[in-house]
Amino acid sequence: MIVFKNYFNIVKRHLGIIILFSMISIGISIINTSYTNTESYESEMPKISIINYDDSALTNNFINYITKKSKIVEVEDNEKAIQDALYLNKVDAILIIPVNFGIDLLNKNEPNLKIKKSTQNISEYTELLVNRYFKIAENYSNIGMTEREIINKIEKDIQNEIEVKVLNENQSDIEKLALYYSFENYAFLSIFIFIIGTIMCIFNNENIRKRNNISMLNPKSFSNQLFLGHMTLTLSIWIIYILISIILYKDIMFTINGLLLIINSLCFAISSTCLAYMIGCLIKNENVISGVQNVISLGLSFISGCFVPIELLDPNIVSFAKIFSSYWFIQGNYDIVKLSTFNFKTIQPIIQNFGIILIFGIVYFSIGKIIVSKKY
Amino acid sequence: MEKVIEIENLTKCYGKFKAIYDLSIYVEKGKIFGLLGPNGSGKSTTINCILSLLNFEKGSIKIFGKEMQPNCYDIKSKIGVVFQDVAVFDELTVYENINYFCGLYIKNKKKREQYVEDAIELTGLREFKKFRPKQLSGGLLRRLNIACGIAHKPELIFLDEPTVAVDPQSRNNILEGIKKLNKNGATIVYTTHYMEEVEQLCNRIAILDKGKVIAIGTKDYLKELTTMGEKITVEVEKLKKNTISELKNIENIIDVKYEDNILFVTYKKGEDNLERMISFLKENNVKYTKIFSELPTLNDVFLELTGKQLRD
Repeated sequence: MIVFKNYFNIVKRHLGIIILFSMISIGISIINTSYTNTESYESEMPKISIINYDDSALTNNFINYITKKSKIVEVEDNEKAIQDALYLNKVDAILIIPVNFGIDLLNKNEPNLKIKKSTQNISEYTELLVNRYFKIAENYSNIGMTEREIINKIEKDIQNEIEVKVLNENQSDIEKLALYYSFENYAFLSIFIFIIGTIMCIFNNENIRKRNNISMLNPKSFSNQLFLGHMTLTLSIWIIYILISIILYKDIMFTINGLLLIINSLCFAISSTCLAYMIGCLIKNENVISGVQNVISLGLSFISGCFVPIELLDPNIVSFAKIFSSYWFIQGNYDIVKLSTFNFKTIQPIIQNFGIILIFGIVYFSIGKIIVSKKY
Repeated sequence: MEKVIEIENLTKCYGKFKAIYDLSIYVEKGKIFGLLGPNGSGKSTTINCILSLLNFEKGSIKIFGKEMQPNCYDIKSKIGVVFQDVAVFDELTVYENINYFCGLYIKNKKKREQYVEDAIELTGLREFKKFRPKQLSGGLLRRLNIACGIAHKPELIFLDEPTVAVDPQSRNNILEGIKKLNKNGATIVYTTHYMEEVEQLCNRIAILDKGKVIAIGTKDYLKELTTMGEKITVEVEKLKKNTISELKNIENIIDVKYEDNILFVTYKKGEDNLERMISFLKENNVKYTKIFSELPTLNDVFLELTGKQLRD
């Protein structure tokens, strides 16, 4: 096992850069998942200005309502000031309530409340708030209620806000975990291609290879020891990645979902090692490694749904992505976190996915072997 | 005498170019065999064919009496090779490099450690054990290259131009090391284009040119092949043209050249050439500052056989 031992002597010399590179990738994974907030949503208050020419009780009540739902901004009542405020985004919307608006509404005279909106999306929300209030008022007016009755009814109705409850408290964490594991696609590919490519270039140096070839070491044994070295190194990095996920999400990691995520990740780590090995067999010059590493890791991450959700990608790109293990790994992660019942029927597609990822690994490894046998 | 290497009618082509043509040589056990020739004469190609690193079109190669094949690991275990280009790991120290290459042959850790120490001793690298290749000078790097090739104590060693671009001190160290290896029983095949090294080391020599053996034998035998007997060099200022013409007419002289106040006179084989030259200079009143005589070298043999210098 002299080649295997020597492999780690060489790795030792590159350990600094390997640790740095791994830390950066793992760090980015953690940051990436930490900044993805899937827990709660808070509605944003629009900035509204109200120019009111009416003095009815209904209008005054509406102003009370809208004041609670928005931030009121003072704007002068002239066209230039209104346009400037909207253009400079000082306000998201300006409401102009005409004279006798309240009475006209109750008398079904179809009064015209003007809403001037900025280009900001939130201005649409202002329109929603206004329409909501006056639609209710109109409905109560249609059944013959007085202004006071309508106001009382509206006040009760608008207190009934919809309360949203998250059914599964772990739901957001499991989504984060899927994201963390999916980011392995970029991290593993970039770390593995860099390390394996560098070490393969060292061992495949023409003069060193000549020396190995004239020795009594069987080329098969040499190649196997080298691959064993790659596997040991990459699986060590994989274990670190898994340990971090256990530390960060220990509640989920000790569930069946967590176990399936670990198996999926292991299959992908093996497949990525084989891909990196295949690329390492093709590379002769150490200087091209970083270029190849970036193209492969970033390219596969973009087309396989690691950086951009797969739903947003062109179907042709998705079809193309299917010829790489990255796609099956990332989709596998999202399928695993969706699982809530576990039986053979629900787990079978996940196991098939593991098989597909491993088959890719075998294909990459075989291509690598063919390249080596043709080259040397 | 037992033959360690037997090559018969070896032919190696690169497309239409014949790198080696009908080469037949043998190497006897315990001897130092020299492959001498200019750059591109086919020395390294011959070694690569012997080691099965290159396929060849025709011929047979036997090592230790067995046909050499890429999977003859029993033969490979007895062979050590020092390539022309330094082949070591930049990431490993001197000790680790030697240990790795020795480890390709010697599995036993204790035995290997001893062998590595012996190789370090032989190449004089003790002070540099913990150095990395990039910290070594060109000469030390060559010595490391040799140590990596011979650490497993092979019976047959190929040294492919091991002294190229090496300082005189390291060259002496390397040549002394090779003599020691031979003394310890190793058979050595030594390729070079430095004739002085071949003359100093080798028992038998094959001179190669354009992939063909143009002469083979001991150095004395090879020198017999030349008609030249002696070269006399005289440092003399302003030699007259008629003196040179007179000199050319003297019996036994092959060639006369006068360049940069130095007179080169080449004689056929014969006795008293130097004495006759001194008499001639006296008779013609030629005052000289220095005069000396040299016997023919392998370069002269090569020059006479091919019409060009070894280092052309």
